[in-house]
Amino acid sequence: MTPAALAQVMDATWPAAQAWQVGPWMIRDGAGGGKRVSAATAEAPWQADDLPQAEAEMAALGQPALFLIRHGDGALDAALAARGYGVVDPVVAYACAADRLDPPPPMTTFAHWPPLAIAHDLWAEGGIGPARLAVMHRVTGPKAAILSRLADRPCGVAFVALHGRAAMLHALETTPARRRQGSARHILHAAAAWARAQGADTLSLVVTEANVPARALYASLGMQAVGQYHYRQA
Amino acid sequence: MLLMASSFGPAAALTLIFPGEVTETGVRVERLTSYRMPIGPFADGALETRLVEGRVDQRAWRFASPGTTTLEILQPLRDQVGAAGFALVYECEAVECGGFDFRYGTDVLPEPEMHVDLGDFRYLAAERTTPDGPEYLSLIISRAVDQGFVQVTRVGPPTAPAPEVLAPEAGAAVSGPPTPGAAQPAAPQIGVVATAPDDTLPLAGRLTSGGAQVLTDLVFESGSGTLAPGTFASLVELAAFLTADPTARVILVGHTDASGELDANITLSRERARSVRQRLVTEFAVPEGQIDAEGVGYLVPRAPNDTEEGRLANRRVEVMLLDIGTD
Repeated sequence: MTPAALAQVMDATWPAAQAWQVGPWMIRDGAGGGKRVSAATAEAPWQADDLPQAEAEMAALGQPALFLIRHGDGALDAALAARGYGVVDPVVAYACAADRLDPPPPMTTFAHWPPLAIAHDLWAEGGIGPARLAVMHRVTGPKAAILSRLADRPCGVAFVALHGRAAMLHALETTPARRRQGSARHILHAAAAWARAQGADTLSLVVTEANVPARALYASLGMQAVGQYHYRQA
Repeated sequence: MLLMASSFGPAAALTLIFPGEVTETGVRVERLTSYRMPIGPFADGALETRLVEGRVDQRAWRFASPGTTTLEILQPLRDQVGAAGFALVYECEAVECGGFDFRYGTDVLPEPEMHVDLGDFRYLAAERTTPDGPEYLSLIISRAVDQGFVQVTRVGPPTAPAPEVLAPEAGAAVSGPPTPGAAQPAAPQIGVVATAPDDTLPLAGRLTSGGAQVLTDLVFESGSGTLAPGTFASLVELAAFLTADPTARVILVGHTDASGELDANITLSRERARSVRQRLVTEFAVPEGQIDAEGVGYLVPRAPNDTEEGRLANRRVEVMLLDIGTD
């Protein structure tokens, strides 16, 4: 997965409420949906003089000044550091071939859309509220909520969506009392099966570098780190 | 705003004062029964409870609380409970209670009477002794966007008089201290709503913001795909929503309890959803094209299947809006 492809899949499967270009910048109105949908990116050659323009746009939206620093954005990273911006939430992207993961055992998962009430409850418990649900509803391509089940009860949930032939998983949550019991693993297998059924060849996701348990799980499934990014926040 | 949560003999009345105007949204009273009161977190696959007996009185209230946290709602109520002689048995906040499992292992009045946000609720259990025996009290506090919800469950001697709502002029008899620390003690503007048929139920808002709503008042017999006869408030509300916006399309999703084979249950759950659609079409003249009906069998229970109460909760139909944000 190239950095450009990764950026496209992220934008399509976890979209901002609105995005528009101002000078060299892509400004995103996240509507409270989190950093990924609110951060500005450099889309064209820029100069230090252009930074206040992006900052003003974000201020007008009532959003903190926040930039997404992708592969190749080293100069922007340095300029923002010099301007006093700090590094926030380094993120790793993982991907694997969709046919690498077998379907999960029968009745351990349940893919559906729109999300059932219990999916909302599990997300709410993980801090994923209406603004992030709105992000999911904005996705125009194929998408699904996947519930996982343990001992005849739903215990985990995730969102998966498709862009071209690449599926990306988001908002993976397991209720605390049921962690480390296979819920997330089943959801990953189910997401791969869903992706294949939609004609996708790749399953991808992003996770913060600090989330070591999740990264260990993805690596154990044979997913490869395919990219990295971080934020710079004023 | 002031109301009587329960009255329990002349000396033992418990009166809770809320900081603003409240609406009673639900009541359940059982004269004499046993009740498993949570007294610890959900952990290792089980909820720590104490089996208590007596008259069970469960009530829920809703009130406007823009900008307040569940802790800000809890604190003054906790003080009042303490002032009434109750000793704290257990208190927890969402995740430490055990989140999802705690919520679904605890007896809560159905939506929309009581709303529990799994990421933002608080629980408190307390007890006190009375001349007639022990009395137990639990509070669940949660909130939606700008509304607070409180459920009070009281289990006490069956001789307890039926709860009543204090008339405004009886405010002087209040035994608890005024809400310490509560924002702006909203001047003695005391209006009591005893039972509240509310015409602004949150269904429409919940659907248009992408939420799902369990139609908790619908009744299905075990094994039957046909909606029981009668008028159901949730269908009146859903029909009004669909009639007001002819472009809105919803999907009804039927569910069963875990008795029998999956295939048969998926068929049964779909029949339940179709039966609800039929009711909306024939009794409320909602165009059929506005309603999809699907079934998922027993795959998504919301309660354990090993009690009749849980199975009843699992036999249900929920509704979601289709085509959100794609127009």
